[in-house]
Amino acid sequence: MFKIAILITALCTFVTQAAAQTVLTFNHDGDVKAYDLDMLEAFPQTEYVTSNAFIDGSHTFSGPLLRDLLAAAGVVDANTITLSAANDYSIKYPSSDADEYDVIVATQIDGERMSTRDKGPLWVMYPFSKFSDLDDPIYKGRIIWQLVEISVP
Amino acid sequence: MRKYLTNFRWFVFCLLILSLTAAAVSLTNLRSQILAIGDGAVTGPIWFVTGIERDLHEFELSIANYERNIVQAETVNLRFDILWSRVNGATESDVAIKLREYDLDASIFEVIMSMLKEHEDTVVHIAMATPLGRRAMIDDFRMMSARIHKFSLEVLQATSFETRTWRIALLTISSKNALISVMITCVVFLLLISLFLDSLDARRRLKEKDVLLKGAEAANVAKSRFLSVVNHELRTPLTSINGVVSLISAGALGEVPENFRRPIKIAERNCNQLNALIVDLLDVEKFTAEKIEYHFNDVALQSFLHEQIEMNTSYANIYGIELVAESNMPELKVQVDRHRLAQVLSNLISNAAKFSEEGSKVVIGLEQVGDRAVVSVKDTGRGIPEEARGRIFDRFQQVDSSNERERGGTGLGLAIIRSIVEAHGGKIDFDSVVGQGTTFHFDLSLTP
Repeated sequence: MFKIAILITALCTFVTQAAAQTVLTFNHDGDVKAYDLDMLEAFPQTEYVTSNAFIDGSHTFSGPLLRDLLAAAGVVDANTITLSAANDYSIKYPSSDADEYDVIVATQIDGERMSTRDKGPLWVMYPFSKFSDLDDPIYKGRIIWQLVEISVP
Repeated sequence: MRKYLTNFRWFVFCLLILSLTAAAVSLTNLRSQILAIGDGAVTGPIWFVTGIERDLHEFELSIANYERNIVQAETVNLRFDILWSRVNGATESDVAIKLREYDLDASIFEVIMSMLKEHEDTVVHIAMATPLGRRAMIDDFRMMSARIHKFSLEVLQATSFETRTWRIALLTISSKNALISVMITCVVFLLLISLFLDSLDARRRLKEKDVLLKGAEAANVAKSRFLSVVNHELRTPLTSINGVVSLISAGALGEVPENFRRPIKIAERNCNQLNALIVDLLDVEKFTAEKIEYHFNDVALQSFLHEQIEMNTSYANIYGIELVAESNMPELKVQVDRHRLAQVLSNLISNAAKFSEEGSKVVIGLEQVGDRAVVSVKDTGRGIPEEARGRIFDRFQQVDSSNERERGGTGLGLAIIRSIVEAHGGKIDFDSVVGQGTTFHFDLSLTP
């Protein structure tokens, strides 16, 4: 009986740790903030259906707005932000995108969380199906998948 | 010269349209080429293939590091998942389409995916995998690395070839644009020539106009002199002749012998006719030069018209015409120049009398239409044909010149009448049925 209690406790601890695993690091001029999926999903969620160049068909993407994350980190007037992925891909782009378009850090696709194999757990997404001016190769490179870090100088 | 200039301008215009169309087409081509180049950016096939190559190396490195206890099994799994997502992305994105465009076999991604699925269990449970199993897996991935490396070189070669194609296309567009620029420059040059020729032509026409203007001014001076002569040298003796002839005709200088009466009557009538012509000529001149001064006063129109009928009765009687007023004329007040309005009526009545059959009636009417008084003079003469409507109020215009002269008209009366009526803010017009008669009518605004 005692062994079972220990096993349950260990399992709970493992589940809690898994849920609380850091998926995103926000580095604002040396001030580092870590987010797990629950924290990101605690932000107001934005959801839209869009297609993109790296996936078949249209899908529903949901997650917090990038501008909300920037505001939460106290970023007011940054010109550029750097986004990095688990596969070491990183890109710099103007933070004005976050205001002009509803750029989200998607945590879910079609209501499900994304595994690393499905380009998750975080995939930066633009509403391509809503704005025709996003039909430009430059924006293809900005929907970074397996996002792990946002840094603002 | 002007015809050639117009044709030249049309030629330049067509050339300009052609040049601009060519420029628009060229710019559209340029845009599509630039967009195509854009597609070769970080998300193109080479990016995917080299990315897979890199992820394969990273995965191999993670296994090597795991075996040396540098990294944990989670790191190996993470690298495996990253590789998986990249290969999956290559199959789901438009990379495969692009590779087919390059005439390359994209099935390599499916081969890698099946290899990943084959070794998935070994990677997930790497801690429990035998060294032999791990070795076999590493060998497979190394062989795949070599294959993907060769494939990435092929993609790079195809990309280079595509870049060369773009370069050639851009150079062609650049040459075309240079040609279009030359064309546009030529067109602009031709336009400048056209403008210069236009300016020359305008200057020449200005000179011609100047000559014409001077001629017109000279003609005007001559006309004024002529009118002065008419007024002083012709009218003065004519008045004396007319007076004497009238005295003789009236018998004031003694009884006129029977055989003299007819020639004297003819002389008297011709004197009157000549006098009327001189008066009309001088009036027309005044109207043309806008030298007429109007003195507007309130006039009771009904009694005014009765007065005019009375004053013109003796003239109408000459032609055996009876002047009558309509029975129910309303009492209306208007602001007019009494003398000039009398001139209008006397002209209309004399016209009506002259062209009506002897023994018929000319009816003067008055009615109110809204806030306007409409005066009419109706005869039962031969009428005015519709085709004469446009010119009847012009100077020296008559319906039938031969008849007009016979009846003693100058062809100026209606032109004078129209000027007077228009100066009163009114309009004059007529209704006519050929063979039945004519009604001239004009309107005047009522005194509020």
